[in-house]
Amino acid sequence: MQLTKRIHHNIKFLQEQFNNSTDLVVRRFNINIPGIREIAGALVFFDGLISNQLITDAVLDPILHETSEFQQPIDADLLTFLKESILTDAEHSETNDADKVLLAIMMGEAALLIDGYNTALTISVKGWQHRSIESPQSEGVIRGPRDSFVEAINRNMMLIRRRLRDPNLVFERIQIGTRGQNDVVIAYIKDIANKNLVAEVRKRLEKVDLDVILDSGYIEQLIEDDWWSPFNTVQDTERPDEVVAGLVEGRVAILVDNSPFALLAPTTINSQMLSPEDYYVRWPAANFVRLIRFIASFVALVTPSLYISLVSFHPEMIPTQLALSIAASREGLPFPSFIEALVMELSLELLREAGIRLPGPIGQTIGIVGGLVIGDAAVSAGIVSPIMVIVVAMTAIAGFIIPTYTLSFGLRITRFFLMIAASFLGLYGLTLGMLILLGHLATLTSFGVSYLSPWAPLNLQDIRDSVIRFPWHALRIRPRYTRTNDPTRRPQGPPGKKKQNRGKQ
Amino acid sequence: MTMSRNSRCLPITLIMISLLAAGCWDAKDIDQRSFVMGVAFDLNDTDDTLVMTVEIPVLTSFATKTQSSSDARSLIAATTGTSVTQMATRFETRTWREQFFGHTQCIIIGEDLAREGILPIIDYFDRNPRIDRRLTLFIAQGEAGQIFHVKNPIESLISIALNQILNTLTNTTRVVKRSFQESLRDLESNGDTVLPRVRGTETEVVIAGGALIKDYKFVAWLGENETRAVAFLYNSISGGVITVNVDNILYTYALRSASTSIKPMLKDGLLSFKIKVRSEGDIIEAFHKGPGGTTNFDLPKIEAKLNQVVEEEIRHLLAKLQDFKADPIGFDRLVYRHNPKYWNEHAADWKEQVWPQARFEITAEFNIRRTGILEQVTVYESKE
Amino acid sequence: MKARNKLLTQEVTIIIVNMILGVGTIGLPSSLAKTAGPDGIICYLAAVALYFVGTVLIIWLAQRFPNQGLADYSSYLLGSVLGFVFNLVFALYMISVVSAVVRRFAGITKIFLLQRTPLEAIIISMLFAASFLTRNGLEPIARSCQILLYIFFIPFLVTPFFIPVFDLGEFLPLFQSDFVTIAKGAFNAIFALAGIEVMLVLGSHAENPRGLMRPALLGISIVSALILVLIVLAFGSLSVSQTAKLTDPVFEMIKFIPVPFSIFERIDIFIFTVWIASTYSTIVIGLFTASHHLAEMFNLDSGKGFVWPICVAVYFMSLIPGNEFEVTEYSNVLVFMWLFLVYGIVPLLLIISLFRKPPDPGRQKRSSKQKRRKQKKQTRETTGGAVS
Repeated sequence: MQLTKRIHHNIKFLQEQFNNSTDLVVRRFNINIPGIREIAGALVFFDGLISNQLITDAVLDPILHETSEFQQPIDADLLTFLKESILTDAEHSETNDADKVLLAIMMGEAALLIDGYNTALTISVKGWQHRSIESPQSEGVIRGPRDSFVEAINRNMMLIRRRLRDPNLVFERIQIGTRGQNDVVIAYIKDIANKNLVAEVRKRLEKVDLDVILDSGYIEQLIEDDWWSPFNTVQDTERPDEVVAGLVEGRVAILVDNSPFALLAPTTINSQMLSPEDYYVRWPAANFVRLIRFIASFVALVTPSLYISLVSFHPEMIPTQLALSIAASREGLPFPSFIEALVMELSLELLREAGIRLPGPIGQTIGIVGGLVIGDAAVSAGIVSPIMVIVVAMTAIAGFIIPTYTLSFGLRITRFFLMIAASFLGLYGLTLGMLILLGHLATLTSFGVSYLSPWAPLNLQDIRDSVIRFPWHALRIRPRYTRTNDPTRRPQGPPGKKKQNRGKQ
Repeated sequence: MTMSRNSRCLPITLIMISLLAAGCWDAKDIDQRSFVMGVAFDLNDTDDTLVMTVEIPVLTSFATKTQSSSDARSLIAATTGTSVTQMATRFETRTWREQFFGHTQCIIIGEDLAREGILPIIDYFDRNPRIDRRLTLFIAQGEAGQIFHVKNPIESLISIALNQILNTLTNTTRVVKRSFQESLRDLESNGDTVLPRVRGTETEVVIAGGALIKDYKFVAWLGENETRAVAFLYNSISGGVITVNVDNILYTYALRSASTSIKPMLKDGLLSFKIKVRSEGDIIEAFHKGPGGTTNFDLPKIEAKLNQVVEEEIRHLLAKLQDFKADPIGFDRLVYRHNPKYWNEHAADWKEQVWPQARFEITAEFNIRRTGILEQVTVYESKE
Repeated sequence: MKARNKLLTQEVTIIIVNMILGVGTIGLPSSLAKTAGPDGIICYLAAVALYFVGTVLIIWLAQRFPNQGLADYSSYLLGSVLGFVFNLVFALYMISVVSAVVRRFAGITKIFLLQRTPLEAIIISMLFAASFLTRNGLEPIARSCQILLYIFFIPFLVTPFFIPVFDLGEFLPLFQSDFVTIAKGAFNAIFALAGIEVMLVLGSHAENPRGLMRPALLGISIVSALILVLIVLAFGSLSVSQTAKLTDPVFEMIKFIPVPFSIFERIDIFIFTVWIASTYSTIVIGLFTASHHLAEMFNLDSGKGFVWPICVAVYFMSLIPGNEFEVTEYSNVLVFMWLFLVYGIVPLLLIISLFRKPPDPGRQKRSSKQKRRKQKKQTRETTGGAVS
């Protein structure tokens, strides 16, 4: 479709295309050029997508006033004149393609139509209401930056660029969604990221075929390697520092407009177990925290199933005194331990989910009411044993230690699978369940990278930043699993050395 | 792609369904088992059968909140039968809870039954994979079942108490600490061993002394000093005290470590064993008895006395063992290891002929390292 | 990105360790003590020496045909008819090894963990778990095995420090047995050690198929050292006579270990889970080798389709022996087959290959692959793409 020279026709066309939507604003005006004539013009835009301030100051005022104050006759045509001399405050482009005009309007630009011209000027006066930058909700840290991504993609790109003043940082923008036409940005550092990886990400993104992308979660699920798995093979984060750290490691980030979560690929189970805070605190503390985190995730995964298998299959494993007190506390309970554990774990998930859905102040009370009151009442009513309450509480607390929300989801689902396995065949069932889990994790790849890297295949370089974290001076090499083009972070020697040399000079 | 995924789902569902349908065969919750904490075996007075007595904790009395001291904390039940399994299964008609031997702390065999042989009893426990091999095998002086009937106001379960007493012993050497595993190890090699002796009074259980087992049969009690000699030879001493009288002062020597080495020596077809006991320890008490004495420690003299006492004890024990033709220490194993040729020639008549004739060369080497924080012994001499 | 389906050099070692370490390991000290007493150690060392020779032969053969699997080069060397028969027998042998392992595993699990659970349930659940991984291909298997290897090391690192009784005297007297006894003991040890023959099939999948010797020898050195530790611990802590009496002495030995701080009453069942994992990896590699070998025989790209049928076969075969004693008899037959394979057929193939020079591997492979692809295309077209 092309625009015509008659403005009324064009306006009518646009209105029809937008089905006379109520938020479509058409501001008609006359451009009065002294001595020549009055030319009809119109600005077409969507209410709310553009900044009213900007459109008045940078577009309407100049057109209406400056042109009329302009004394000399215009030798060139009006549109070029406007473009070159009047609309100098805003970014704009000229097109006669009606589809492009439509898209531009939808993206928050204003289309300037002038009678007699079959081209339109799309002026970037974007300005919509968005949330200000707040501290992250799901990945909070004590030590470290507190900003997190917001819904506006430009701001997100700014948050990354501000941390990485590298000309090789590339943002590639594509539109995905047959109806939504949503912005998706691929970010990577050109001389670090593996070219094949970037190409693969691009290829997978191009294959995405949805009508609208409401969140990066859509993209995450459509580009991941194994949709069957309870584990995610694309990492998501709301922390810009995490994204920048990923970019420097040679990973590719994907930003999606209207989503405060960025995606990182490839990812491994190891990379998702690490919190950015591990790098901000000193290394002994980081190692301690990581060790606890890995143990805790194991505890969160197996404690209920271990409880089931020990209590109902192999009580000889429990220390005698403890066995007696567990047996005594279970005396007279109506349900077998599996049902007991299942009910308690399910109610824990219930509380969790309810805590998210309920409005803020009530959400907090639910934790107290659910956890303390119901738990205590269930124990004194003789429905569950106190030991079970301890087990569930331990699982819950340990589960929250996992830094990535998505990964903890996977572990939560797997926990129930292991509980069922343990309830059938005891410790043997639990072992088989763990082996199936291991087999599954070993099968998973994230963009061709083993999900179990760096432990399988063993990579001694990457082990330095896994369960343990070496001090910074020993982390000279970028992780190998991303197959970067530039394997070293910095030359040999301790990181403090460069500064000292400068001081001497 | 989708086909293979579906084919992955199918077997999972099938197996889940089949498992659900069949149920969990072995699942039996902890509260549905009755924990047999201790088992005792006796001969039945009236006929040829055995009596098995078990001690089972009453679970409700172990619940943390509802604790009333008047309630019985354990149930002691007895049954008769001809084999262990028979007796164990007879309990099934009395309680719906499964007899569970996974936490059994002790097996006590009555004196009379032990004289007839302990092999049939221990076979059941040796064969059962759930048995904790760290439990202890006792021989009871008198009737074994009575041990559980001891009413001790502190201990709620006699079986646990017995095991705890044995495991926390550090200052007495008058008991052989042998776990079931170690006892089996001895018995397996030649059928002889020394098991701890237990007896019950009205309110207490006492573990002291040992029972000499020969060819899986109880033959004689060993006194407390003899048991100490056994402990030295077993090399299982970790502590303990020995009191010697030197110049009318009773010195108490506390063992800090002791090790025994036994070497078989073969000279001109004559078998002898070189036994060397080394020990380090402290003097922890000087008990003045009567007037006279010295104000300074005469360490060499005390050491010599200690050596003499221990050597004498061991010699006495070995003589007794040779009298009984029993070899619980495993001298035969040593001969087999170091002189396999000699062993092959004499294996058949070892216990009857060779062992009773064996000679010993016993040396003890006790070293006193410290004397506490006092350097001298103060002796009060009354001026009369 | 497509899976590379290649074994890294480290993964060759890992596959070998995982294949060998398994069900037979825990019963080995018992059978050694039974046959030769303290000389069991000698029997074991003899078996290891014998085993090293067998490994060298097998790897040598595999290296001569770096881009071909056993099915390809054996039919090239033996002729298509004889080769086909041999390959079929090898596949059957592999399946029966897996069956024997599964059966033995199920028997021991039943005794120790699940007394009332039917054998069938244990076997089915194990085969299900194993087939799940087997179908995913070689690379996931290698990665799983790598993680399992870390777990295997834990008991070997932990138990020696906590064994309460250890008597070095148990290893005396040495060199008392005659040659026949030693040979018998070595024969028993072979069952626990067998497994290197999978490299005949998997060798061509190594990243560097010509450099197999080092990782393979490293692998069997690791395994034989680990098993030696187990034997020494069992003899020293349980005594030779007790080791001989018990069916699975390793667990009894661990039962005896006092757990520090008494977090658990005992740790034998945790060690048992490690043993389950090691058996699992043996079964997985065995299943994969069998299915892959069959796929190579019938010129298919992947043996995925064979996994379920093989599992069904394994299930029924593993239920053939009536009791645990018969299981031992069946595994003895397998040991004979192993000896025949490694010291009979492999040298034979080696000798033939000396005379019939291996064809230019690159060209041969390519042409055969092209043929295969063509054939496959045809079958696909004729069956309407049902083969997937």
